[in-house]
Amino acid sequence: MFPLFDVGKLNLTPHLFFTGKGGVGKTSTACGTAIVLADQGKKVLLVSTDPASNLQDVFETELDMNFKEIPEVPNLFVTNLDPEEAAARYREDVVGPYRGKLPDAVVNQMEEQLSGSCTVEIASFNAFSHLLTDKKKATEFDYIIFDTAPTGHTLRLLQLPSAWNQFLHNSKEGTLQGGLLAGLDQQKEVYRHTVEVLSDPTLTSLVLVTRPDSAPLKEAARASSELAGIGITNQLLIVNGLLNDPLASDQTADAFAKRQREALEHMPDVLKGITTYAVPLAPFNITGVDHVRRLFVPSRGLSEPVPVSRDVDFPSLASMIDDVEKKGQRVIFTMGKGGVGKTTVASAMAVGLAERGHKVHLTTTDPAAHLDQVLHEDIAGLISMSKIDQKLEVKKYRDEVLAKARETMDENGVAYTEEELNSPCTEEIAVFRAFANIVERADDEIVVIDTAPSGHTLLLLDATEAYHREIAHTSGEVPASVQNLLPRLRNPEETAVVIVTLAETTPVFEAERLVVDLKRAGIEPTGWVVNQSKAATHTKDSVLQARAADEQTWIERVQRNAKNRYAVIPWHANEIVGYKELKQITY
Amino acid sequence: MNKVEVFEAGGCCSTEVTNPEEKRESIRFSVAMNQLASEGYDVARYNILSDTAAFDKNTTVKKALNDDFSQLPITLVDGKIVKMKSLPSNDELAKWTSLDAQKLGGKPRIRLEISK
Repeated sequence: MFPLFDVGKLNLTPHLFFTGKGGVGKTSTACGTAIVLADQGKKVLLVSTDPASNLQDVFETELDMNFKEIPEVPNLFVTNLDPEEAAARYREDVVGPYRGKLPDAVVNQMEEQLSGSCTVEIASFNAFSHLLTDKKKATEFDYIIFDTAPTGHTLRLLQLPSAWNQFLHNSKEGTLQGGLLAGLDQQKEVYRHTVEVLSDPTLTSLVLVTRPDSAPLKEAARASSELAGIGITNQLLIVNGLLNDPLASDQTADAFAKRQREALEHMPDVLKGITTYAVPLAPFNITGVDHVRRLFVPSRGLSEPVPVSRDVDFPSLASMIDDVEKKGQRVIFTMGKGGVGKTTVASAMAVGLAERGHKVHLTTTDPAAHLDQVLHEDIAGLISMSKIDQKLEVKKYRDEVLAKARETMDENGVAYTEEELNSPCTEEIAVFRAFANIVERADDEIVVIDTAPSGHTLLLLDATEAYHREIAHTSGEVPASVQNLLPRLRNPEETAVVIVTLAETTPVFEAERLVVDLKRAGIEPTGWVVNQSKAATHTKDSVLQARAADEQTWIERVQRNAKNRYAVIPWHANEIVGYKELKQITY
Repeated sequence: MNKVEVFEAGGCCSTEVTNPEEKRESIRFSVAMNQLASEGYDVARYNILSDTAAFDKNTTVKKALNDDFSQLPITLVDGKIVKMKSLPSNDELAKWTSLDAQKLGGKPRIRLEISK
């Protein structure tokens, strides 16, 4: 239904930014584009600023911030600018000179404050801007391809005059930019120029990458309108991973293709006006230049046999629930990036525990889960449910703050405050208190929650609350729920942290980063769950079989990460909802 | 003219963000300080993340932090500590700078009555 993404025939701008939800294939499609253009004799620079980048696996070579020419692809240069590394360097620049001079406690607190996602975001934006505004590089390369794109939030913030007003800099992003830009007016010029280049449709296009699935399509629609809103209007859409000829006799393959068709039929309206290309699901994994070359050219034959997945049985969620029961853990939370199925796993664990006769309270942040309708059949007396409505909590917080800003600040100040409230942290903080209150219920029953603050937030808020305890007069009494939170979450006898992921490159990398962040806060995950696994479906479709074989390497990696405490949930055609279906995956 | 200096804790997800009341307090303070600066008063704000050198150079602040790092924000008037652990109120700022506290409230509020 969509034409194939035939790079050679398209008229592309010199700068291409690939964007999309984790796991949709940004890196593979960006690499494919770069290789095809280089094969045509164009000089191409491929830039990765994704902290979970797997460019090294794709090119099977070590990469760093230098431009490395790829031997199998003349004219292609690749650079890996890890923004976490850049953020770490920046952090050390700020903090390092004062180590031993200022008290250790102050230095440690400064370091944590510079360890959030906003620092990383700004660091990666810095990397973009320097490449985009470097005249020499702009003329040296025919194409510069980025496998990530800046967020609308960062771009809007930098365009606001108040972002540069030092007196507003005591709040989050302000400080970071104030620090990053520290007195360099030149930098301000670089940022201005960057925004100019980004919003010039003859120079820059945004390549939205999605899977034919509802969550990534929604994310693509959001990114599309957000970035169009700040002037990046030259956009195209790649639907990656279409299963075109499902094996007719195979239930899984048939359901898989049907689900894709339905997702595309219900594609968000904003995407319908965008030129769209298709990339079929590849019957191989995307490592090695040869494979990437084939990505957009499905007709090209494979030189090796399609890999076949071994038919293995994986541990089920039941054994993990048994473990939780045996240990007597009373707080269970599922963590993972959006779209991996945290709510499903949390609900299933709640059902499993209630089935084993425990009183359980289940809290989810996903209003679409409709759990109230779902669970009340047989075990109504044992499961109670509540919802943390992130949108509502954020709105309450925003409204309260903005009311004050409008009362006292001028237009620029209000605009800045408003944008600051769009930061990814606002949501996390707004739900923090609700989260703390729910955890407190574990005194009387088992509590299962499908979300948790990041380790970074917990550390900062813990220090903050320590500070509040001493100055109770400014903020009133600190609730016991907040005081006890971190010690409780750190105690493995009390708390089980379940990491949810998919058996694919980016989701596994993202989950691993989540674990590092939790460990910093002294929280050790109890187990891992691999959700939506094709390898666990025993499909016979050859393309899905090849994907399943690729999944197995990631499942093995999860198994090692989890020190064998892991479970695999097979891919389901529809979202797993309802008591009966949830019960099925817990036995 | 008195010199007012405020040394503040940093940055990402700092104290104020857990609580809208504190965020509003911080907005109130930013507006007042911007006002004072624009009228030529000798006021300065130092953030520990972006102005670390100012903390290191100021022996009074450094000593206070050595005793207890949770003292921030610290306000100095003419080099002497006058307030710790919370931001100065508009009344305090007015007292130290001899400016009318009314002027520090930000843009004037105009109430419009619209009858149907």
